[in-house]
Formats: sequence, structure tokens, C-alpha cells
Amino acid sequence: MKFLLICLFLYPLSVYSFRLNTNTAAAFGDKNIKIYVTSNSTCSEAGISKEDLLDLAVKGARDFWNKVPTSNINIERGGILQTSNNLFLTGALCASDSQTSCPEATSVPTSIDDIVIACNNNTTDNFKSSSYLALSAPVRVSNQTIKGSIVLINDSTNTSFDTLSYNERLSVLAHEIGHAVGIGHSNKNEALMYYANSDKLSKLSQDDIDAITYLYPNRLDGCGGFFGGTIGKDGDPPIKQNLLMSLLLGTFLGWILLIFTKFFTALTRSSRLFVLKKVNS
Amino acid sequence: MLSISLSSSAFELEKISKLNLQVGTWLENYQQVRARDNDAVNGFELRPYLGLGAKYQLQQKMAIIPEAGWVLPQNKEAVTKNIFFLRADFNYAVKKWLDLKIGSSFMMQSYSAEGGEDRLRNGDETEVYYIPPERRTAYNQTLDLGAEFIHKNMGLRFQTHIYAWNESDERMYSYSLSYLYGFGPQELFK
Repeated sequence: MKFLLICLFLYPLSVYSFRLNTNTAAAFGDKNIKIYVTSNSTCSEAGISKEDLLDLAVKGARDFWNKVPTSNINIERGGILQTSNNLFLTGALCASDSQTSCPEATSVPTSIDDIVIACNNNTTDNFKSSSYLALSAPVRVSNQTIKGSIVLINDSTNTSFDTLSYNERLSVLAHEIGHAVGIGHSNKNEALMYYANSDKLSKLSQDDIDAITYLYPNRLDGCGGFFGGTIGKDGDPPIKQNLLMSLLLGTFLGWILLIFTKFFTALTRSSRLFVLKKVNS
Repeated sequence: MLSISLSSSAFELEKISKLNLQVGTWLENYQQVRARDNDAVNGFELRPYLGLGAKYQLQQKMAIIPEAGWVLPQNKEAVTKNIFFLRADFNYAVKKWLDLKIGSSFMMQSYSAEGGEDRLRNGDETEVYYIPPERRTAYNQTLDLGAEFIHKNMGLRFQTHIYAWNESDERMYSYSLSYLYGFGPQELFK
């Protein structure tokens, strides 16, 4: 036992290094987020059709972010967003915290909902070198709530997106969706949110899991009525919880409370007896 | 017909046959997360946790064991992560030296940080990203299965904690391996 206790103080601390895109830890208010691709995205230089781009983005979200059991995020297919606004294709990406310095006439539109993907060829402001495969940022943020995010795929003549394998494209899209929902870069090279792309990426790292759990934490409803429910942030509706499990949990917590109550009572009684014995003697 | 009674009259203090203290290691999402850039998954690591519990005897071979525990925090780079749990296992004594368990844990996974900025690489340049500014907690319910090997007043327990047990797409497994020291409740009043 002593040996084990000593080990407790010698164990190596793991590093948690996830970072966020905004200083307010902004996240989408609704955990059900949709992905759209603009209808005017031709993506000819990037070498992908807009339908395939949408499929890839949805797969990236489902295979990575939607699979985290400690998070309640649910990213799904929205569809093709009908638009003729060419600023999606040529405008500069302006993150929500720098929009005062972004002229509306030359920036990607920000009046969007959910996540919008477009193929963009702006090499002056966005894709300054071929190493930039894609860019992403929340563009419509109110207090701690993201209303809309943009993902831009490098569709300029200097793009190298067209040379990527299917798995690399998948990890690029999943990475950019991570940014779109509020996650920043990680300094751990195994993380999906590491700045460099990887073709061997089949799972999230613990750092990615912690980031998405922090921004979109899972919450239970009711807890068997014991806690009166744990209601989500900003009045989110609580998650429906399996009735049997909630009942079991309430019962278990009830047992714990009863046991400690009984112990406390017994302890008080025995100390009273001890005092009485002393007085009698 | 199954009936569950929670009234205090049904509870008998004498049925608490044992209390236990636990020291162990918590294997979070063991072999299910990416641990290296070559896509290798995470292996065994020492991540201590402490717990305490009480064995409430229902019958000679059956008991309920409510427990509370805390996985020690990890906090090197501004974000501190704590895991607390409350759980209760239904315990069946198969042999004198072997108990099997099934139960559920209420997991509280808490992240705390005090905000700030950090400059990290982004393509050829660096960019500012932000440290979480406040505490947030995720609540989860797990399905737990376990076995405990008993020798005198000591035990060695292996337990699995299944997250999203009813959703195959999201299901993940954490494990705990612990050493238990058991003692009778009467020792508290000596």
C-alpha cells in the first residue's frame, strides 16, 4: 500500500495542450450543426467536385468529431447552398475577431449559418503559398456563440490540394471542421488539430477529444431526479437519457446518501455514548 | 415482480460488510486514441486514481457496492483535467476469492483553465490561439463490468467503463486496474 502511495506522487503528468479559436471559448449554440458547400464552387484547380467535397466533409465530421462519446456535437449534411455571390470564391477570409479591418466589399460573406465550405482562389489574403491547403474560421460570433463558420479550400493555380490522397483530403476537411466549431491548433503532433497534415490518420488523439469535449460537453438529463437535471449552457435542452440508466443512477446515489447518513448517525450515537460513559464514571 | 425499496427502514447498517480504499491506474480510452504521428494508438500509462466504497450485503453472495473516486489531475499546459465518479456495482461472489461486478458510473470530466494566449504554428507562420478561459464539465454515464480477486483483506480489481454503451458508433472503453484495501465498518468505531 505504501509503495502504491509513493508511486502516486512519482507518476508522469500527461500534457493537455488543446487551444481554442476564440478567447471566449465560443461554440455553436445548437449541437446539431450542418455543413453546406456553395453552389458556385467549381473547385476545378482543387480537383474535386462540390458534391464530393460535401461528402468528404460530412465523412470527416462523422468519422472523427461525431464519434466522441463525451461530447454531444452532431455535425451532419446540410447540402448545396444556393448562392451566386462570387466573394465566396475570391474574397478574403475574415475571422470574427478581425472583421473591423475587413472591408465588406472584398471579404467572404459572413451572414451565414452553420458551416459553409467554398473553393476560393484568393492568393493575396488567403493562400499565400501552396502549403496552405485550406483555411477556416468562425465568422459570425455573438458572445460565446458561433452562428456561422467558413471553410475555404485552396482553389488557386498554386494549390496542392489536388495532389492529396483521399485520406489526406479527409484529414484536411476534418481538421478545418475542427476550426469551424471553435478548436484551435494543438502542439501535439499526433493530434488532428496539429498544423501539419497527415495521410495516416484514422483516430482522434486524446487532445482532440478533450478539445471537443470542452467546447461541446455531454450532459445528462435528470440523473434519476437526484440532481434535478444538468441543464446545458445557455439553456440548451438537456439530452434525453435512457430511463433505466437514470433510474439506476438515482438509486445508486440514494444508496450512497443513505449509507453516509447512517454512518453519520452511528458515529454521533457512539460519540454520545462515549461522553455518557465518561460522565457516569 | 421486482421492487426496489429505498426507505431508511429497509436499510440495515449491519449489512455493510466491508469498506474499501482503492488505489489504481485509470486507462482512459485505452488503445482507441492516436498517440503518435504514425497513427499508433495509446498504450498503458500510469494515471493514478483514488476511491472509496462500501459493500452492502444483500444476500450471502450478492452485494451492492457504492463508490466514489477521483482520477488525479493532469495539468502541465494550462488546462487541468479532473475526472470524478460516483458509481454502484452489483457484486456477485462467485468464489471466496473472486467477485464479479456489473454497474454504472456517473462520470464528471472537468476541464479548468484561466485563459490567455498561445502562439502556435499555422502553415509557414505562427498564429495566436487561446487557452480555455473557464471551467467546463462533461457528464457521462458508463456501463461497468469488472472482476475482483480477493486475498484476505486485499483485492485486485480490473474494471471496464463503457461510454456510449448503447451507441456502437460512439462507444469507447476506459479501464481501471486497482488495488483495494478492505476493512470492517466496526474498525471505524474502535
